Amino acid sequence: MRISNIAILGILLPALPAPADDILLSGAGNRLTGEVRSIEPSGIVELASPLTTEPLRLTGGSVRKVTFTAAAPGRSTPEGSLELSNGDRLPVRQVRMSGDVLQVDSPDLGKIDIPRDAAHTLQVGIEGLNKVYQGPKSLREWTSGGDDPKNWLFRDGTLRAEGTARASAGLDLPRSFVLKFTLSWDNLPNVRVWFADSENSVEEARDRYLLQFNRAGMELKRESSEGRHPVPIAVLNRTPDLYPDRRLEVEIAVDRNTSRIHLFLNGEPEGTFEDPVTPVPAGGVVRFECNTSRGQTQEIHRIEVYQFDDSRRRHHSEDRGDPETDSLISRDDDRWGGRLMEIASGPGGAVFRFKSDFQEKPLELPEEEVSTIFFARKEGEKPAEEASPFVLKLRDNGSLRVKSCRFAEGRVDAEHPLLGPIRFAGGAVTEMEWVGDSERDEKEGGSE
Amino acid sequence: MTRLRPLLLALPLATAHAAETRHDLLRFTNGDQLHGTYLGIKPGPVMSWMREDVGGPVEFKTTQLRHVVLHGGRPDKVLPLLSHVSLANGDRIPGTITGLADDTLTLDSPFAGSLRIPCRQISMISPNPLGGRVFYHGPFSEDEWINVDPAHPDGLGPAADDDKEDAENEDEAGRWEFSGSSWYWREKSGGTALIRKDGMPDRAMLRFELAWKSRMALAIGFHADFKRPVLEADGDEKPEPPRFSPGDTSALPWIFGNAYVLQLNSNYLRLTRSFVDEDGRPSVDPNRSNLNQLRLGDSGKVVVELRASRDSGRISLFVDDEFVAQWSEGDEFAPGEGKYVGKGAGFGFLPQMDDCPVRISDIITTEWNGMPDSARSMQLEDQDIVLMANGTDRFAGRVEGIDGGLIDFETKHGSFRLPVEEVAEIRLASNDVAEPSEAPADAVLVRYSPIGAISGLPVGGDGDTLRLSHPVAGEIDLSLESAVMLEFHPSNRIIDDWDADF
Repeated sequence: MRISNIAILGILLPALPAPADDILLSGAGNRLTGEVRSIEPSGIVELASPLTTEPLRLTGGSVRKVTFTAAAPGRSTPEGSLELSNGDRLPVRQVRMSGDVLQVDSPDLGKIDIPRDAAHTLQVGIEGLNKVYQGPKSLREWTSGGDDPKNWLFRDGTLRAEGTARASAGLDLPRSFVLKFTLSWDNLPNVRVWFADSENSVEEARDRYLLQFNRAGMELKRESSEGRHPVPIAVLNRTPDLYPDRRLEVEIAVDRNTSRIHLFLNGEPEGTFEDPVTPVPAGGVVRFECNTSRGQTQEIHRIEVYQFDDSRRRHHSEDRGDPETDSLISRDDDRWGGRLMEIASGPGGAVFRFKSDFQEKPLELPEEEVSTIFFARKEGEKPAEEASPFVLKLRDNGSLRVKSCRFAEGRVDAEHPLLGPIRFAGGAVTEMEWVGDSERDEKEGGSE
Repeated sequence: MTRLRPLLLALPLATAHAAETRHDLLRFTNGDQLHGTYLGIKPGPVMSWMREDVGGPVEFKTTQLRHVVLHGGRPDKVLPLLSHVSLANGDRIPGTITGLADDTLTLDSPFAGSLRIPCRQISMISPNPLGGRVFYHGPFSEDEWINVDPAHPDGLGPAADDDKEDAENEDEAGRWEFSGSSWYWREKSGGTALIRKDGMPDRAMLRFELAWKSRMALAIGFHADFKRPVLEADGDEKPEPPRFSPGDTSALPWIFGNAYVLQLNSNYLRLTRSFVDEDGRPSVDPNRSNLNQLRLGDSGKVVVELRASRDSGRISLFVDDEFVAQWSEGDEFAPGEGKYVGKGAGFGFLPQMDDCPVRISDIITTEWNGMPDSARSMQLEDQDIVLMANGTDRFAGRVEGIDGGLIDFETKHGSFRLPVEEVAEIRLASNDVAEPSEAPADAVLVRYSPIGAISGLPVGGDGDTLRLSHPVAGEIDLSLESAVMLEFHPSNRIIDDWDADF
């Protein structure tokens, strides 16, 4: 394993037993590649590297972030998400509940029992972001519709425009979809992105959306087949100077059922907007146009398309209501307060038995009709306090805070404040991040 | 969630009027007006009116009347409840819902006794409406509203003297004018705001009817603290506030202080943050400006509803009960500690263009129960929707009956028995609601405080009662002790014939 820049002076590292990946350390530019063997409750991180004779023991706060690259073999797509009372989120394949215990089957932790009191929110069903496309895979994929490949370069999953360039692809966008992509530029951006387009030609007036981003800012428009001028949907004062690293992650969630568009920039919500023109564009083509000055470049990469189900996001963000009552929200937007009695196995999957305050007999809802469960908080109970300085990121937006963890033989053993001792399957953890008290750790300072 | 608390805790106390000192106001369609005492309506129909300087009662043809404001806009007795039913023709009849059977709803009204209403004529049943306590409903008087501008943050003071020369009045700032139950802006130049310094709790709903002629350019400040920017002295001279042209967003902090300001225009809208920092420096945040498509046209009338939560940072806008836009402010993971800039409880309206007459009426602010838009603004064609008073629970199905304080509600998941006292609203399936009919020319609309609007043909009555021939409930006798206004010739047309010269 090759070691990248070592900026910590006087450190000798032993041979690496197995590769990990980027390890960001405190202080600008400090970075190592090695293997994290353990993280102790005191925060001390044991790092193995071929450059030292002994494993390096870094005090708490020295290691900011570790990104692991080992993939989880044969990991199946989780079908739900369980949020714990401390904010941790665990993707789940299957959940049953009997009494005050949830029996959870997690693709990352296997089968574990979780006390009902530790549960905060359960969302059932396929995660609202079912990936439909990831790319770009090749230049041909994006220019086979007649766009001139001149001025485009393709390398390492990136479309690079050197001059004015157009590219489009039919991505078979679902009825409701999320389009994500990353833009980067070396001087000024000047990009137009059409989506929900129906053809590969730009000249005809068609029903489609247009997002444009240039030195003047960002604008979202609606083009219409009726030949009218594009109708502005949103104009945002997001100028390129707001992004000093010259990079922007764009996420556009389009719900064609409700004619609404949600826009996120660098993960931050910019607003929800309504398409004022009916009917909504029905196409599935995405088209990029870069107008780049000579000698400058713009890049587009990490293009992803997901099937978008807004209801889970809406339901998750709803007011929880009475904290001493469970709530069940169905897929068709009904919501009941009461108590979740049981999640049992049924012929077609799980069956949720919920005793509403206004019914004598409990409701029995099959899994496919359930969206979200808010669990009541125990009377007098305060929300769990954050005492764990390490966050382990999992696939499918999972995230668990742990007090300590040990990495060995492809596994990760950790101590969770609510779940107790847990063991992650190989490759389950994608990142580890330190979120502890840096001021305290700087006082303690240095490495061993 | 707590249930709706008794209305009386939240409403301003009505001042008791001695019967012998009742002050009513009569306005005519030609702009004339008369103070006096309303004596009743006789067949004709004609209205009787008494003035101290006239020997006896005067009778006026109702065809020449615009409206009568009763008790100076403050009723003898505020209705002790918000519960009401909304009819297909727009009427809102307050009362306690006592039963529903055989497609007929019975309502126990405090001013009209027991009423029977066919369900087909009902669009909504609201046992506990509006999502929470009512903090303000009006305007029925000018009380507690102030005309302000950057140079006069505490109010413009007395209106210009009519005896003065026009030249002396030329520099007077424009003013909002109160008439009937509405505020009107009809000045040539914009720049004067109409504000209330309170009325918006942490989680608030602000709802009002907005009418306009020609172009629309109105700023609505909310959760405003009206903090005053510090004026910077220029040498020895007394500091003067800066002058702004209408539409200049730099003026917003000078009007609203720390607040959110929603700017409505004919074709777009924008939400802006307004700041006055600890040192008194004003600023606006253009980075939160979002222009959304809005199609209001050059004249018309809409109902605007803003919901804003300081806790969650969520702000939603509805126009005519349809979702328009939503913004996220603040930090949902640190309630009360986030980026929400609206620090106050006030709100106000500011015209932002020259020659943009507007009328604001039917203003109501309540506590917002957090009901999300997906349920609140939804009306299904073939299902009734129940919204519970706790602000979260909701079901779609069918109302089968109401009896003994319980609503029998059938859903695909089974039958429910819902206590009426725990139901906020029931929106009936739109396919089941009759088409509204045009009000007859001689109809009168009786407005009640805090909620209520009942229309019909006047049959007769004295100063305290009115007999109406109601299109749905039949002939009913109304007590006027909680009424604030009688409107003659009410119109369902989109463009009201409101007279700019009233």
